[in-house]
Amino acid sequence: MTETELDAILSDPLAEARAAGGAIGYVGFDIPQDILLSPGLNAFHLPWRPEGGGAAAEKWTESSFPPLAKSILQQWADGVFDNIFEYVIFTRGNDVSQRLYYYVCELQRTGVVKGPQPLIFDAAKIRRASSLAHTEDAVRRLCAGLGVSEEALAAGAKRANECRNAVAALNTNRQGAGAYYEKLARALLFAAPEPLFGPAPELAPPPKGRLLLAGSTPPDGRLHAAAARAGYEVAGEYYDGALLRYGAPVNLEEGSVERAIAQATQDALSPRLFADEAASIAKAARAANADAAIIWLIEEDEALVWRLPRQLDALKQAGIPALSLTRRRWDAGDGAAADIAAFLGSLS
Amino acid sequence: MTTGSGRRSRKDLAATEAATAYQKAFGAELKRRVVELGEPFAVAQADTPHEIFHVMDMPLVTNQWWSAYISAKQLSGRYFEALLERGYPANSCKYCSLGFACTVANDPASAPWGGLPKPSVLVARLTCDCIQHVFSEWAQALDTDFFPMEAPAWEHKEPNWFERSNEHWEEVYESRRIDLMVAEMHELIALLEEKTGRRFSEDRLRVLMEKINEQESYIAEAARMIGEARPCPVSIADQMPNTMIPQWHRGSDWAVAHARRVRDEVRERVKAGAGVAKNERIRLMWIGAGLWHDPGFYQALEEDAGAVFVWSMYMPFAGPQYIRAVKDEPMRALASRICAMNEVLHLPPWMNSWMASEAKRCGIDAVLMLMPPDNRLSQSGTKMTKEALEAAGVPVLALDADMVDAKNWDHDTMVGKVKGFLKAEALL
Repeated sequence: MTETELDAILSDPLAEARAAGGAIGYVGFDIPQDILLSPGLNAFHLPWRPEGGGAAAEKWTESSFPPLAKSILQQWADGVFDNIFEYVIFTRGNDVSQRLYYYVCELQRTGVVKGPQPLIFDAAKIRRASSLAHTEDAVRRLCAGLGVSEEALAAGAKRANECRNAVAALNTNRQGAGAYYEKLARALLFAAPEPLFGPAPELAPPPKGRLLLAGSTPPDGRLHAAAARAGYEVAGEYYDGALLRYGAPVNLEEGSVERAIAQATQDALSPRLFADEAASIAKAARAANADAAIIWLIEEDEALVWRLPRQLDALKQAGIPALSLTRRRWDAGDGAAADIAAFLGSLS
Repeated sequence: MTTGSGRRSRKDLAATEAATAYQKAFGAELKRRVVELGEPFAVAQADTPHEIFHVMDMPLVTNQWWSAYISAKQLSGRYFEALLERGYPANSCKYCSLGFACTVANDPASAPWGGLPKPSVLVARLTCDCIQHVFSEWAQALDTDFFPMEAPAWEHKEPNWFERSNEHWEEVYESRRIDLMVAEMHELIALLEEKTGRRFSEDRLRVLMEKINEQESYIAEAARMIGEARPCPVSIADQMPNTMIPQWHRGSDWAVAHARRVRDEVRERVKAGAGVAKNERIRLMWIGAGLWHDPGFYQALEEDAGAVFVWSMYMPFAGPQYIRAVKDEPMRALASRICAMNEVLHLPPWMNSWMASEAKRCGIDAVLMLMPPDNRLSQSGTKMTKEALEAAGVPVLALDADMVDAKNWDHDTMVGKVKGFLKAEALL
């Protein structure tokens, strides 16, 4: 798919949902693709605005809620999602998403807002049998709530695996023009995936070097653009909204589909992931053949930042120079581009 | 960072002094068992099933108690600096991370007990996204295990949960949530038995649960009397220690007896018409954790303004969230106590409904609400609660401050701010 076509999707992220009629919305990047891609479901992430929320969102959400959450709540209050989505799924795998779920439920209960019916995907992330069983049950409950049959879920899982393989192929052949892949990752939230997995356009190799971008999911491609202006291309992303949210194909040969999906949910990158994040980021940097890394974290992040010291140590040991930008504005209006340019300039 | 502008509070109940003395002796005994005798012990968040440790006679350091202890010694600023020096975030949840900061600072000369020895396990419920990271890092620093517990989603939303939670807990808190916590408690017990050689007994838990019910019923009765009495017989400066100290020892003979004593003393003060202030004019509600670095704040406006803090969550919480009909299912009853302990205080509809109801019950004139700036969990639900209270005609002042980090706090400035708020609301 061309960049122009991706731009068209991103310029009206509700277009496909609107056209589908009775679509399913979702908030959070660890909700299983296997469910979202079940036949007939038409599931799309709720869009956000980089500028954040407005008066209504500020009235109900506290300062520690990130702009993405405020933006979604504001649109909800403005009725943007009315008559487009029948249900909206929030995830327990992310603190912001789950709190937003309770807020929306309460605002609906008290008649302050209307809109789609909120559901929650009760992902339990601890690597123990009881949590895995709970997540398996959460998969079943969510499917029941959405009317997804066992057969439909199996078909959804098969389709999701095909997408995972397509993403893996894209990543294997990825070269330069990180902005394209950022747009692709975002467009996949708002459109049916298969048409987007066509061959990537021919891209020029990065003039100066390759970069890994990690930390918080940015609102759009502004950080990629900042790196490109400094002569570097983002050759890999390590944040939960990136393409890696598709994860590895789930094993559909052994055990139940629900169990396989639950296992994949536990492995999904999220603020609540139990994993060796230091090793993981170093691995991601090597996979991207990165010459440098930037870990960018927004002010409202209160989870990923605890991983930072170990991640920086791991990158240092891997010989990859890294810049950490913490407590930053989501809209990057705090000089992030200049900081990125200065860091990358210092490398060359 | 810590300014040290905090003031001590005056205590009106004789029971308070007894509780404080008990806790001091307990602290010394705990230190003896843990530090000198090297007994296996646990560090756990307040919203975890302490009852399991009590049944196993395993010493327990509650993280929030430990944080308050460090904070009261005016050490929080120094320790948070140590955290920053290691590259950890400045905008961290202070309440949960202060104990870890103390470990990172590694300064036996200043640290309480000379610093924590290695516990057998750290236990926390994952009620926010940061806690698992803080406790994982802490466990690595202490070279021990971290046992996380899930805080699953809660789909059954009953705004008046507090009216049915004692008896109908299976429905109020959802069976599947209780199922998960029971499974986790069995896993925790297995870990503890393996690591310590001590044995858990469900029969002992059953007895403990009944004793806790007795203890909490006394506290609940005291809370009811305090809410109804005019003038307010006992300020939150007395309510907090007389609830929380027995709470750390819940179900013990001392805790039950102390709760009874508190109830009796409150009853005597009500009967005698004793009030906290000489001329009570304004009844205040405090929403948030205790202001551990400046307990004297709660009494600063009593004399010249007649403003009395009648309500904080600790004492009134005892009734709805601790008392449980055991129904011969002590593990499930316990799970229902723990599995929403944080949620009902920080999420709508539970938080706003309960606090609006409590404000009405206690005849509250105005509310002060703690808004820790870097803590989504503590902030969560506050704006909706503020709205609910204001809709009920109760003005609310949000205070941008932290419960254990005094860096944004100056006693006189804050007292002045509250005075200004009360004047603006024509209450003063």
